[in-house]
Amino acid sequence: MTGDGTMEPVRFNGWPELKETFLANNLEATFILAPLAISLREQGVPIKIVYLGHRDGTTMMVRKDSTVFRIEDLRGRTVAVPNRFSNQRLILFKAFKERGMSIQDVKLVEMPPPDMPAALYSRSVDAVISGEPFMAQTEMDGYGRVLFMTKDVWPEFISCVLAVPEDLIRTRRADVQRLVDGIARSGKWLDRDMAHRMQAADFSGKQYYHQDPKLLRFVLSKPPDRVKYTNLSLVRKDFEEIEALGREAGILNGSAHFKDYADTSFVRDETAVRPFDWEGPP
Amino acid sequence: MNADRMAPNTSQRPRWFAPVLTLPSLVAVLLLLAWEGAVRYSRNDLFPGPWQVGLGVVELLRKGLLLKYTVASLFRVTWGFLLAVLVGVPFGLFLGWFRTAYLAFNPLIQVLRPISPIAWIPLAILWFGVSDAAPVFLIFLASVFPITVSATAAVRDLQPVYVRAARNFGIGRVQLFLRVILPATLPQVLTGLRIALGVAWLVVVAAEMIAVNSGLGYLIIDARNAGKRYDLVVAGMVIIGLIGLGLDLLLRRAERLEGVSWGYAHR
Amino acid sequence: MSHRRSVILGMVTWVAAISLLHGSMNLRWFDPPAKWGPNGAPPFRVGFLPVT
Repeated sequence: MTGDGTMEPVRFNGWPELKETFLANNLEATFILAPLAISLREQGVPIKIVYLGHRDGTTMMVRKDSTVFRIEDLRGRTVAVPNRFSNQRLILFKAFKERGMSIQDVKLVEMPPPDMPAALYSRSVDAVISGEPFMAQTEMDGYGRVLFMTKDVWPEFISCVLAVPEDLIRTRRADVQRLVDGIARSGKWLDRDMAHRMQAADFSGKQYYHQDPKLLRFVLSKPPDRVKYTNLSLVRKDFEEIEALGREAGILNGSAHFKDYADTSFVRDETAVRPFDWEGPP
Repeated sequence: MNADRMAPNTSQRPRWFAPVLTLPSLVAVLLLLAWEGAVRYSRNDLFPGPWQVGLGVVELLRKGLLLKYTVASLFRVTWGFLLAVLVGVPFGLFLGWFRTAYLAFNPLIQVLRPISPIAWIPLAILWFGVSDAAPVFLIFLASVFPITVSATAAVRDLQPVYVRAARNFGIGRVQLFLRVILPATLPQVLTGLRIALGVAWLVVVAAEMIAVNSGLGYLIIDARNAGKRYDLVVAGMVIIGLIGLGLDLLLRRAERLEGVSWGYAHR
Repeated sequence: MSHRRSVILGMVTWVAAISLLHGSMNLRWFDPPAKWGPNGAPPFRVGFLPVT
């Protein structure tokens, strides 16, 4: 996130609270689960996706001593997903379909990501899938093992998108543009140099996330493509895949399409985005 | 305690040695030992022992967060509870006095009363956004019903003889309320307030799950987000418990004030 | 009944004190109001969860 005086980050602890605050018009912009944004649009909420926050950055973990070594081994196991509107749930649909399995083969439970490490540790569930840093935490603490990363199953995976209320694009276009530019340029800055990522881990861990910088350093470097901050423009076919899986998963009804919920006008040419030239932390 | 009161002459021991302090301390020490033992026995390195929790509290103190978050939580509870008292006590007395009003409103109160404040969170966010108003509203909701109900019951339990005697003296309506009903109901109302304050403090964690960025409830939720900081989760729990104990003691003291203490003397 | 006065006084003091403390420690009431950009531009609040 860019620290630019007029932008005020508001941290939430759960998707429902974030969604409700957005619905009550108390947020000018928000990062939100991609399928949740599409679903809100289907339900008539004037929400527009304007950019992505990152790509990939989701991992599925099992316990180190688990007998699950391939996705196929998940049959009959209990799997925790963050939210029924999360793309982490949809990636399971995709992964299972490609392996001739169905979602009925596992028992899905919804669980806030911060609770997942403890649930995995205590063997309450057999596998957990969510965004970072909660998955890396199980790995760093020595009881979690990566079953797959999104790049193995769904390269360029989209978890969260940047969305704004539609009328804001008219009334405060310059502000939205400044936010998108800030994300695009700092994303390129992050991905240009591992040293930048380490600086960002230290800075944002303290400033925004209240998370251990060591953990964030791990997330951003092991491996470096665990999460990516480039190629954040909205691509129609990515979202059409999410739409199709969302219908299959029963969370979308297919009444909203890319042109309804996406506005690609803020970054027309991804290659033209110039990284920030910060040297120290922003 | 009763022994002290009945035979003050025989009690030469210093006050701090009273069983009212030593017995709970003994239980606390035993509990801490059992806790430490259980953590060691289970070899669970996610769950913190008492020492780690103590270090967590020290860390919070050093960062100035403990004071900041305690102030935030007390602020929300103060205002939520205050509003609940200002609404609940008059409304409850009113319902207790006027039978028609009681018949009209009591079912509604009984419908709203069992709804957990957690269920109101979505509405609180939609109405009040991310400001302090949302948690204050939730705390208000949690405490206003116990207060109303106890005030209503206090009036309805009133000994008719008080009212009749007062009327025989030809006392006016306002005087009847101020001189008879209010003092006569005060002990029971205060007990209701004490219970309601406990409930108000109880829901502070849930109320601060909303996007506020301060408070002891927020501390717990924030610690969950921060990875393996269950020491801070338990530290938050311990602090909430201790402050809750303090609040309860404060209101118990209020019950001993001369204006109301007669209402508890026989209990 | 001088208790009544001290109880009421105590409560009023408490409400005022806790409100002022909260205002200064958590709400930045007394900070210079230059936080939201020049010309008092309206805030631009961006919601997020601490998860990728």
